[in-house]
Parts: sequence; C-alpha cells; structure tokens
Amino acid sequence: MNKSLRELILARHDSATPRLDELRWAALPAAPPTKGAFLRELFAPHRVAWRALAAVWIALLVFNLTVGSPGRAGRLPAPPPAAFAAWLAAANSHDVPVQTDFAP
Amino acid sequence: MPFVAVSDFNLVRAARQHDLHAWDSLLHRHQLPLYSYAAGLLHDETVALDIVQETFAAAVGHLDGLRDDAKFAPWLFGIAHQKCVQHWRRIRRDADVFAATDEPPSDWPDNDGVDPCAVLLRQEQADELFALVAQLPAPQRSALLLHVLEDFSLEEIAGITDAPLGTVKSRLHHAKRALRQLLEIHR
Repeated sequence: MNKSLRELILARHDSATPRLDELRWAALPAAPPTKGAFLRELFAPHRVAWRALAAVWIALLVFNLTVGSPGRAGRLPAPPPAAFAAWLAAANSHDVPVQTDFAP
Repeated sequence: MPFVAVSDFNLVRAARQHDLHAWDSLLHRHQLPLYSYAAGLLHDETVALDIVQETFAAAVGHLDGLRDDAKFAPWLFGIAHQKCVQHWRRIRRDADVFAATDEPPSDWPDNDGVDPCAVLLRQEQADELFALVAQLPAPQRSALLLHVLEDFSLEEIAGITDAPLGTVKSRLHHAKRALRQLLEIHR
C-alpha cells in the first residue's frame, strides 16, 4: 500500500506513542481547585489532629448536656419586693449613698 | 452525531480557561509530528523525547506568550525547534548548525516537477527515503520536515526556524530536489 511521505515518517515513529502519552499526561496543567479539593487539602494532611479535635468537641457536648448549664437553674431567686424595700430603708437610715433617682 | 474535528483555535480558547480536555486534545494531536520532527532533526530518539517533554512543559506554562490562538502549531514547533538548537549548542559549542552563510536567499519558484511530498511511496522506498532525509543538511532537513509533517507555509517555517523567507525557500527547494532525484531513480 502506497503512503505519503508524511504517513511514512509518522508510521516510523509510531512506536513512541505510549511514551508520548505518558509525557502528555504528565505535562497537563493541574485542575483548578474545586470546593471538594479545597476541603481535602485542608483536612487530609492533619487527619489525626482533626479527629482528636472532633472527639474533644463531642466529649464537651456530651458533658454539657449531661450536667446541665448553670444558667437559670443555678441563679439565686430574686428577693421579694418587701425585703428589697426593707433593705432600701436600712440603707437610707445609715446614710449610705444609694442613688435612687436617676435624672436624665 | 458526526465527528467534527475541533480546530486548534477553539481548543486553545478552551485551554486558556484551564480546560484539561482541550489541553489533552491539543497536545495529543501534535505529539507524534513533534516527536518525529525532533527525532528527524537530532537523529536521537531519547533526546527527542526530552525535547517533547520540555516543549509540552513550556507550552503549558507559557500559553500567555501565544498571541494568535490560530497559530498554536507553529508556536509549539517554534519552541521545539529552539530546544533542538539549544541541544546542538550544548553538544557542539563551536557550531551554529543553522547559520545561513552558504544559503543565499532564493526566488526560485518550486514548480520544476512533481512535489515529492505529495507523491505516494511504496514501503520499499521508505528506508532509502529516510536515509536521504537523514543526509540532508540540518537546515534543509528542518524545512522539509516542517513542510511535510504539519504542512506549514514558508512564512510559518521562517518564523519557526527564525530564518529569512528567502533562505527557507532555498532550503526547501534543495531538499525537494534531492527527494525528486531519488524518486526518479526508482521510477
């Protein structure tokens, strides 16, 4: 079968194609970073540290739920109005400078 | 859907947008001619692979240097040609292989016979043909390979090899004439 000079030259070098494919794949530019790639890049290198940190967070959460927060339950009850009035009168009688009027 | 070859122009446009498939297609379509050019010019297949590797890396890293997206192939071969010349300079420091001192610009029209690049050849002729091409002076071999492998115009070959247009005409004329003589012997 007759071939053109171009076909003959390319056929002569065709055995190099597998190696050329490897060179091409190696030369391809890196893909632009995606969200998934960003997360992998963030977490993958320090996987153990991130796991330990997550374990600590979970332990703290469990502890917090079990013991309960010292919010409203731990607060002292508000004094009854009568007791507050008595304390205010005592304070006035001892000349304790208690500011009761708040002029604008 | 019928297969439609995407032009270099469109692939370069996509490659500029970091399209990996476009890059792969671009490099794939030129890899064998590029390798054939370097191997034919240097007569060393290992070095030719290195040249292709360096050319791919340079192309991927410096696509911004390509001004005309339709001229990707001449640009790519220009990089490869420069790397071939650099290789020559490394191994033969005293020789400038592409010096055009003995090649006066030529205005000869290349119409004195059939174009040997367009002739269909028998497989038996191939070895003799390759031997002849290998014996051509490097500048003539370069012009002939560029013309045959990628059908570059004289202006494009002049740009790739950084040679005056007249000099490229002369080189191609001599190379074709040698090929034509070989083909006439076998007729």
